[in-house]
Amino acid sequence: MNKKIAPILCLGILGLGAALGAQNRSAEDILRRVDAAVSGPAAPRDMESVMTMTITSASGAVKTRRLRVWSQAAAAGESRRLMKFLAPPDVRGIGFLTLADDHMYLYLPEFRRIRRIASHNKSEPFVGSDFSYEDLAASAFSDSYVPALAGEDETTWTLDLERRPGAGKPYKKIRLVVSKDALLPLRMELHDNSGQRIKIEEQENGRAGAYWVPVLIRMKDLKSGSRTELVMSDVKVDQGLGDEVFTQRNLRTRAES
Amino acid sequence: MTKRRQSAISILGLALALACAPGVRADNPFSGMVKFFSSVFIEDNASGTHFSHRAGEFGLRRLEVRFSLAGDVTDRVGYAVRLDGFASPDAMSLGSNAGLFPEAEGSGAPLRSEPFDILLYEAWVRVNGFVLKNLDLTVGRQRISWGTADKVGVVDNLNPVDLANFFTFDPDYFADRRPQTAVNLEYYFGPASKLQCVWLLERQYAPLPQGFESLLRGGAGGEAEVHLAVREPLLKHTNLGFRLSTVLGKTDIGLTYYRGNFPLPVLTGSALSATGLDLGYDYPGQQIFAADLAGDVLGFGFWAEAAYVLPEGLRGSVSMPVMVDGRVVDFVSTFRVFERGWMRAVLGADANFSLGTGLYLNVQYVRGFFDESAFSSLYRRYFQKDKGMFFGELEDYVLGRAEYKLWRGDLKLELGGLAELAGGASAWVFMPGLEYRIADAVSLRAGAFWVSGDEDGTKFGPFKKDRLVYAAFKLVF
Repeated sequence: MNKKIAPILCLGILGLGAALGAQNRSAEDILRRVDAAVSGPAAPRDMESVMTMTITSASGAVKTRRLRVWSQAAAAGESRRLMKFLAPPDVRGIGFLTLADDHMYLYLPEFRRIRRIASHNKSEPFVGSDFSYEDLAASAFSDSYVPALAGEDETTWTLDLERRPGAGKPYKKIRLVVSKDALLPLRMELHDNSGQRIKIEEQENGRAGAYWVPVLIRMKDLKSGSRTELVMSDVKVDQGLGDEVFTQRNLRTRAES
Repeated sequence: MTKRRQSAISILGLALALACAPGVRADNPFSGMVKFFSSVFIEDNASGTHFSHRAGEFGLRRLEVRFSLAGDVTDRVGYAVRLDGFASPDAMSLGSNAGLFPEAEGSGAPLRSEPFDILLYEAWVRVNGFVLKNLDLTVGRQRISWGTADKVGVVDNLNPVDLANFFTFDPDYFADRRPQTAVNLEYYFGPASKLQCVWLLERQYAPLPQGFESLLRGGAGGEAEVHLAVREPLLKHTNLGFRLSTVLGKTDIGLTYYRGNFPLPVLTGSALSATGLDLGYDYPGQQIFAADLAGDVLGFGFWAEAAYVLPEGLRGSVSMPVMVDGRVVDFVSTFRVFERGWMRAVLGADANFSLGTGLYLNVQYVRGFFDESAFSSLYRRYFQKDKGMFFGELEDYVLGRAEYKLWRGDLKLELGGLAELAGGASAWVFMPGLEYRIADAVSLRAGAFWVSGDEDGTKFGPFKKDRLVYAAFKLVF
C-alpha cells in the first residue's frame, strides 16, 4: 500500500467509524427515550384502561374481547399488570396478574381458583389474538436489542433493532418507526429467528393528561393473514394505584365483581 | 313445589332484589349457562359392576342451567349467588316414585314428565377490610380451593368431591368439588401471601351417585341393612382449616392444616345374623397436615403437594353367628380401622410447545386418590379392602393431558387420561375429546370415555364394558 495513502485511509476509516459510532449513539439515545416513554420515567406511573380487542381472521370472521387493565410502570422486570376480562361471557371474570420477575397468575372464576402459570406462556397467542403475552408487556427495548438508525424524516425516526445475544425475546430483528412527538412506536416490523418478517404492528398514540399513550394498536400476522385491533378507552393515568392493586387478593375480588 | 325448590327460588329472588337495590354497583351482575349433555354406551354390559346397559343406550341425557349473580354492594362489600338447575328427559322412568303415566302434581305442574331439580350451588357475602385493612371475611356457601395441583390434588380438602357427577363422565365435573357453608377469614400480607382461617359450619358429605345404597345392599346379596353413624350437630363436630401461602424465592409455597371428617363413608361394621346382614358406615374424623409448592423452571411449570392424613382412632367390628355346644353364639371381632396415618402426594409439570398453533402438555403423578385410605391389616382382611377398588387402599396414578389448538383456539383437540397402577394390576383410561367454539360463548364438545387394562384388581378396569361417547352443547351468557 502507498505509504502516503495509508494514513489518509486510516483517518478516513476512523472518521467513518466515529460517524457510525455517533449514529449508533444517537440510535441508542432515541431507543432509551422510547423506553422512557413506554415504560420508564416519561411513561405514566400507572394506568387503567378498557381494551377492546377485535380479532379478524383471514376469512373475515370477527371476534371481540373486552378487558379492563391496570398497569404500573417500574424498572425492567419489575412492572406489574392486572387484567380482567369483561366480555364475551364465556371468559368474563377470568383474570391475569403479572408480578415482578414474570410471576404470572391466572384466576378461573368457575373454580374460584388462582393458579400459577409458567412463563413459557409468554410467547403464546393472547386469547386467540395476534398478540402474544410478550407483545402486550411494556418492556424496555434497550435491555434486549442493539439499535441502528435506518432513517429519519420530519416526524419519525426509523431504527433497526438486533436482538442481543442471550436476550430471551422471540423476535430476532425489529424495524421500529418512532414518533418524534410522542417518542412512542408508530410501526414495528417483527422478524422471527430465521430473519423472516412475520408480523407488523401499527400504533396510534393520543394524549392522556400530560402523557402520550397508545390508543389504538393493530397487529397483522403475515403468515396467517389475520389481524387484531386493540382500542384503548376510558384511559386513566397516575391515579396512584398502590401495591395493593397488583395482588392475588385483587385478582380474585376485582375479577369476581 | 318442594321446600328445597321454594328455598332456592326465594334465594334467587332475594339476590335479584339485592342486585336491583339502589346503590348496588355492578355493570352486569347476571351471568349463566345453558348446557345439554348426552352420553351413549357403545357396547352391551348386561351385568356390569357399576352400570348395566345395552349398546346404544343413553348413559345420561341432561339439560343443565346455571344462573349467577355477582357484584359489589359497596367498595368493600361483594356477593355472589349461583343456582344450578338440572332436568332429564329420562326422569319419568327413573326412581321408585315413577308411575306408569306422566301425571301432573297436585298443582298441575307436570313434574313427572318434565322433572327438574334445582340447587343452591353458591351464596356468599364478602367484606374486604373487615376490622383490619388487609383482612377479608367471606360468609356463606363457597368454594375454597387449596393447593397447586391440577384437578386431582391432596391439599384441596375443605370441600368434598362431587362423586355423583364423577360417574356422569361429563369432563366438566371430573374430580370437581362442591362448595360448603363456611366462615372464611383471609389476611393478606403481600402480593401473593396470605394467612387463611376457615370454619366449616357443617360436616362434609360428598354427594354419592344414584343407586349407591342399593349397590351396598346388592353387594351383600340383596339382604343387607345399611346403618349410618350420624354425629350430632354439635360445635365440636364442625370442621376447621388453616392455610399459610407465600412466595419463597421464585416458588409459591403453602402450608395447610385441616381438621374435619372423611367426606366419603367408611365401612366400620358387619353383623351377620339369622335375620340378615347389617352393615355399619361412618364418616370418621381426620386431621390433614399438608404442604404444596408451584414454580417455573426453564419455562416449564411444576407443582408438588404432600399430605399426611391422621385419622381418628376408630374401631371396626365383624360379628357372625357360630355354633358353640349346640347353641348359636355371636362371635364378634373388633379391630382398629386405621393403624396409623399415611402420606398422599402429587408431583406434576406442564409446558407449552411451539408446535403448529401450540401444544400444551400436562403430566401429574398422584399417590392416593380422594377415596383411598391406608387401612389396618385386620380391617383389610375382614372387609376385603385392597388396592384396585373404590374406597380401597392407596394406589399410584399417572394423569396426563395434551391439548392442541387450531383455528385461533376455536377448535381444541384433547387427549386426557390416566394410568392406574394397583400393585400387579393396571388400567388405563383414555378421554379423547374435541371442543369447537361455534361463536363467542357457544361451544360444542364431543368425546369418549374409554377404558383398557386389567378388569380384576383395578378400580377403573371394571369400566371396560362401559365405554361411551358423549356430546355437549353449551351456551354461556
